Amino acid sequence: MTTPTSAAATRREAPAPPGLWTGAWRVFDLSIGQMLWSRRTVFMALVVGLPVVVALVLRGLVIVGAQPFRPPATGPIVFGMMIWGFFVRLAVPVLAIFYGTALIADEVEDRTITYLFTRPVPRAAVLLGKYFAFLVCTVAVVLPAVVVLWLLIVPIDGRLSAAFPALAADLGIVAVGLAAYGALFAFVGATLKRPLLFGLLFVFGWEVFATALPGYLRQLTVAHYLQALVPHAMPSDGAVAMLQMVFRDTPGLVHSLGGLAVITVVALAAAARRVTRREYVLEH
Amino acid sequence: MTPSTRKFLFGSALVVSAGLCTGLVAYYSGALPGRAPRTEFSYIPADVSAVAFADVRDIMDSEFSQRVRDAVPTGAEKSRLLAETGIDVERDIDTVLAGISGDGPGGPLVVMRGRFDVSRIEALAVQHGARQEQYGGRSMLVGLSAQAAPQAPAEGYVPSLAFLDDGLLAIGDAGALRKAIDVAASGQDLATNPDMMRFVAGVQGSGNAWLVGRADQVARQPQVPEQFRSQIEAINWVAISADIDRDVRGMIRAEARDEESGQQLRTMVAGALAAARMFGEQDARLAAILGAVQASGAGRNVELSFTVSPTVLDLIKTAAHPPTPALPEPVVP
Repeated sequence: MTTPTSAAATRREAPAPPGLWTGAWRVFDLSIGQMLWSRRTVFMALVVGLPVVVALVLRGLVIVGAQPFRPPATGPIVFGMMIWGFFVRLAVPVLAIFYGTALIADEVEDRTITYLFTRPVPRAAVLLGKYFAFLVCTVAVVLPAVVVLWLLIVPIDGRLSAAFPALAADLGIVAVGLAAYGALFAFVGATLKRPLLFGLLFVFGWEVFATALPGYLRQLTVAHYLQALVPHAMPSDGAVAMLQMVFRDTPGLVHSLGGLAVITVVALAAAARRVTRREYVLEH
Repeated sequence: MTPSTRKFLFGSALVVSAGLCTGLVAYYSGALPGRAPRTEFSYIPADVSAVAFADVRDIMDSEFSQRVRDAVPTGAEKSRLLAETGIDVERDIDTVLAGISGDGPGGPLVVMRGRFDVSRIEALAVQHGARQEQYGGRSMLVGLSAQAAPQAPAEGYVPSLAFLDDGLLAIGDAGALRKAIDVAASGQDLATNPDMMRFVAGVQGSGNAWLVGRADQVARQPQVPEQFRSQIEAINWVAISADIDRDVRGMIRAEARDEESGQQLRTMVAGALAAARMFGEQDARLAAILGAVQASGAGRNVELSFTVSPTVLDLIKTAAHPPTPALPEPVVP
């Protein structure tokens, strides 16, 4: 028979369930390795490795004495175009779609979501932990590729010293873009049944259409705020780019960063709320 | 977190840190990378008030250029440059970049990329009174005859030519050329002027000819009329680009001092365009030109885009050379 005092002592010794951030950290610790050593990372490495291969070829041309760029194109200009045309407009949204939509959807598909939800951590912590694992994983692959590209391309008819501020800005833009797109697609993945299709339609349909139109529709895109951070690299060839140029209403730096922060926080909060409240039915 | 994951993340952070450190060292020392700057931009000082570029080869090969050549036959200036320096504009030059200073006798510095017969140019220039000089490891021809200069001679202006690099030649005032060579050596070139480079990067790739300039420095020039000066003073930057191919697609962009000035400027441009359209509707040529002009912009920006089609050029050509009226047939009694 236990006395009331010893019962109270036993209650005190029972470990309290982890809070939101402790739980998120545990899920992050578990997920980062799974994400990093998955087939998706191989796909990501191939995507961001492509411009590095192109840069290596260009360096090879320089070594053999060829002039890889036609004036007035220089290394810094080509690097800026690659950041704009490849990373900001293609790689960042595509990687965010493939990783972000899969954060919860993959667990549901593999029917492993039950194991996560039966752990003594808040459901929102599962989403947050997986989101931060996605962010660290993508940033750890994409940013080194940008740096290597910069080191290879910029010295061709350019100077690293002059192009350094652009590199610092571009690294920030890529990281911020991954965070914003990732949060948005985490919400999409937690909400929709076909998140991948929606993500592709959003990036390559809605965003292209809305940013080319005058008015306020463009403010409902991530690209509007992200593109404003890199106006120097915006190409003006092509019909869509011309339309975007004609109707350009570039927000300022604070407005852009504020917009991206709002998108990230609101999308993450909505995704966490959705994961907390939703009853996931596992199909057999 | 497994050791392999930790190692990967550490390696990734190391690559990014190494790149940032390299960039930081380069930024503060201005010495990296080892390769010497080779582009035209490297010779344009950071303090120029305007910079202009033309891809001469592309423009000369364009269909529009052929039509202009048919419509407006020229050749006097081209022949003069050929006689003075042996440089054939159409054959020898690929691109031209000009840096225009707002003050001083320096005048524009014109950097040309192309194929130049150095010995022939030297021989012709010396024959016309120029003297050879070495400055900063570059060969210069100082004191060309005034006809070869890119601007009308001013007081203290010494028209000169410098061989900057392989296939790179500059024409301008001797002082401006020496400054250009110094600028390339020190690295304090146009690329270190972030405000101007922001606009240069915006127009690069948008056409085969462009100009970017500080409007406020133009407004300070004494030859600018007072009524224009007050308008120009409201503008900080002007960027003009043109893509000359089958037709000419151009864009003029002005960045006003503030949003209020931008709004006023847009209203003024829209009003002027409407008035021009109203008065020009009787003239088919003017109506065709104005019909392809579009004004837009937001905030501090005002943009004017236009297209000059081959049809418009034909109309202008017809006006310049009206067809000879047919003679009346002789009346046979």
